[in-house]
Amino acid sequence: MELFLISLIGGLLVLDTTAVLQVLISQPLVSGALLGWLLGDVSLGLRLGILLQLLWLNQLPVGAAKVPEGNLGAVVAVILVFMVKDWIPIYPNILIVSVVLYAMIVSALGVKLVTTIRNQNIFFLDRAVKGLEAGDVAILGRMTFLALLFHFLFLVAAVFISVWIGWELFRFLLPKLPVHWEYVARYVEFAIMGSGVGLTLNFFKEKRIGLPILLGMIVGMVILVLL
Amino acid sequence: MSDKKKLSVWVFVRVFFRTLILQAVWNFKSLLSVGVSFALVPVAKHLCKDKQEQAKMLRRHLYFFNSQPYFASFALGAIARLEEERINGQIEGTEKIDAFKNALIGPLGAVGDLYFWGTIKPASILLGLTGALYFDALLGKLLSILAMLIVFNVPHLRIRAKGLWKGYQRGYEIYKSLKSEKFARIRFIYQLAGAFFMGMIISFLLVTTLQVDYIQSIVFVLGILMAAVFYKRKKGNYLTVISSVVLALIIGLI
Repeated sequence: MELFLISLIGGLLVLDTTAVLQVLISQPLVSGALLGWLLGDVSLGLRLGILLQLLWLNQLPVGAAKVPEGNLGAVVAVILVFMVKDWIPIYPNILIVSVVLYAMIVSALGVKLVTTIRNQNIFFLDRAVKGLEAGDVAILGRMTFLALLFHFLFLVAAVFISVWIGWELFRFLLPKLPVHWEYVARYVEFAIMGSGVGLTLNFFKEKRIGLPILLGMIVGMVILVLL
Repeated sequence: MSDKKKLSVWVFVRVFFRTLILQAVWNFKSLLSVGVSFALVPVAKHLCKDKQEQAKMLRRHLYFFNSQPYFASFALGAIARLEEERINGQIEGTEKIDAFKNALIGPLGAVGDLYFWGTIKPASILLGLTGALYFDALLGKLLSILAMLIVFNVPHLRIRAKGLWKGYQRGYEIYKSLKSEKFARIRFIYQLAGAFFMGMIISFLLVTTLQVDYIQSIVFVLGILMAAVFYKRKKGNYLTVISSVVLALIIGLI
C-alpha cells in the first residue's frame, strides 16, 4: 500500500518533466529531497538527488528528440534505496552502484514509455479532430485531461513496477555478493560524480566561458579553506 | 465600428493557465497542436459568435505545430491577434494565418531551446547543486533548491506571460522579437553564472575528496576526462557512466 501511495507521488513528480508545468520539480535534486522527506530522511533523498542530477543534465529535450527519462529513473532509484537501505545496511557502496545502474536502465526503458504515450496521444488528437468537425468545442478539454490521466497512470505504473522489480532483484542478488565487493566499490560514487560533471561541462565549450569556471573553482576553494 | 471584437486581459489570463499543460497531448503526428488549440479555446469563445464557428477556428489549429513550450506563448499571442483581425475583417481568409504560424516553428524552437534548455535550465540546476553541496545545514541545502526553482521559474513564467502579450501586440511582426540577439544579454548572464557554479562544484568535489583519500580525487578527475573523451567520440551518457563505474571498480580492486 505504501509503495502504491509513493508511486502516485512519484508519478505526479515525473509528470512535470514535459506534460504539466515544467517547473523543475521533476529534477532529481528536487524529487530526491521531496521523496526523502516523505519517506523519513530528507538528507538521504537529497544525497541521491545530487548524485543522479548531473547524469542526464546534458540531454536536451529539443523538438521531437527522444532523451533518457532520467527523472523517472531518479524517482525509482530514490524509492528503491529507501526500501532496501534498512535491509542491507552494510553495503552502502554496492547499493549506490546497483541503484545508479538500475536508474539508468529505467531511464532507458522510460524512452519506450514516452514513445508509447506519444503514440497513444494520436488517438486523442484524432478524437479531437472528429469532435471539432462535429462542432464539439469541449472535446479539446476532455481529450487534454484524458491524455493527462493516461500519462499519469502510465507513470504511476512505471514507478510501481520498476520499484517492485528492483526490490525483488536486489533482495535476490545483493546477499549473494561477496562482502569484499563493498570495499571494491568504494570509489564508484566519485566516478559517477566525475562522469556527471564531465558530461555537464559540455554546456560550457565556448572559450569565453573558461574564465568563470576557473573563477568558480578559486572562489570554491577559498570558501572551503576558510570554512 | 462599435461591434468590433477586442480580446480582453481576462482572455489572456485563461490562455496563460492553459499553456501550463500545453504538452499534455504531445504526439508524433501533430506534435504540439492539441495543446495550442486547447489554449486558444478562450480566444475562440470570445471572438466567434457560435459553436460551429469556434470549432472551425480551433480545428485549423490542430494541424502540425511545434515550439519550445514556453516560447509557444509568442505564437499564441500573435495568433490571437490575427484571429481577432480576421473576425473584424482586417484579414481575409485563413491561409495567411496558417502560413504565418508554420513560419514561426523554426525561430520558436531554435531560440527557445537554446535559451531555456541550453542555458537557463542547466545554470539554475547548477546553482541548486552548488548550494546543496556547500551548505552543511539541511536548511541551507533546501534554500538552495528553492533559489534554483525561483531563478528558473521567474524567466520561465515571465516568458509565458510576456510572450502572449507581446505576440498579441505585434501580430505578424512578432518574428522580430524572436531573434536570438534579443535574449543574448540574459542568456550571457546565466551562461556565466552556470560556468561559475560548475567551477565551484568541481572545486568542492576535488577538495573534499582530497581531504579523505587522494585516490578518490583521481577517480573523480578520471571520470571527468572519460566523459570528455566519450563525448568527443559521441558515445552517449550510458557508456560514459558505465565505463567510469567499471574503471572505479578496477581501481577499487587494487
